Amino acid sequence: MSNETGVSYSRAIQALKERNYTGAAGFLKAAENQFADNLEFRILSATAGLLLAVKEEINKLENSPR
Amino acid sequence: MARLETLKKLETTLESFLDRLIASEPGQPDFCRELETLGDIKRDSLRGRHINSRLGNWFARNNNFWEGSKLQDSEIADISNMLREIKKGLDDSDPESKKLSDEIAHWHENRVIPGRKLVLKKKQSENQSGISEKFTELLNKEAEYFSKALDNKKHLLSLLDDVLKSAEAKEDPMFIHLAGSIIYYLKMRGYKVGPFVKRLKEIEEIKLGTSHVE
Repeated sequence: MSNETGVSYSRAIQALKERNYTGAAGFLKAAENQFADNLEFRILSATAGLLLAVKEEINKLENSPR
Repeated sequence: MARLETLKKLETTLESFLDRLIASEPGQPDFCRELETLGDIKRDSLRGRHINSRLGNWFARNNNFWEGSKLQDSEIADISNMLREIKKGLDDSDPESKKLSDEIAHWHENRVIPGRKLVLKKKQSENQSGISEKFTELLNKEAEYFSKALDNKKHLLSLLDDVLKSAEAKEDPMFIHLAGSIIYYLKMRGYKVGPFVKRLKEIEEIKLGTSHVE
């Protein structure tokens, strides 16, 4: 693991701890090449991506005219 | 409405799942942060800045760091190289710096980080072609240092001041050569460099026992 990738991963974890999912998605993206074969990382990344999509959908529904 | 409720339940479930996943994460991210911090300390050390308290805190935080950690060889080599560079800049006549220098040596002795490999080489005559390669190496090293020092977009005069401070504090003669090079460049551009020349002469006399600056 290169230092830079390690730092991205570290920041992603920190962002997830703070529930900053948008920030985490960016850092996970930066680290994804290095962790392509890491199942745990892929689950983490996919879950964060799904959560962002769900939040976006909730936001749309809550702000749509009734 | 049912769709919104379902999505909100899914949101809560996913957040909870992520929280549990993060809680079971090993200490790797902490290590990455520590590696980044050590890199910052090394950069500041190269710039001649005071790093003792930060380095001391770093050692305190990481005293038992290695127990149970699964570091790769490249990561251990990174730490080893950074500590070696930092050690070069520590002044052993100062008790605090000496303590830090001893701590780095202690890490080497206890095989926390590998020591430098001992390579025995026959001393080459400077008349042989080696002198050109050595000069190229020096220029490359200076270029690498300079590109890092330029990160904060300082004026060349401020950088020269940093280089002279490093030349005073460190044993590496590169800083003396680099300072001379910058001074000459500034002189060619019409800057008044008298005070810098005087400082470099004094440093050169202390470090090399003679002055080549005219």
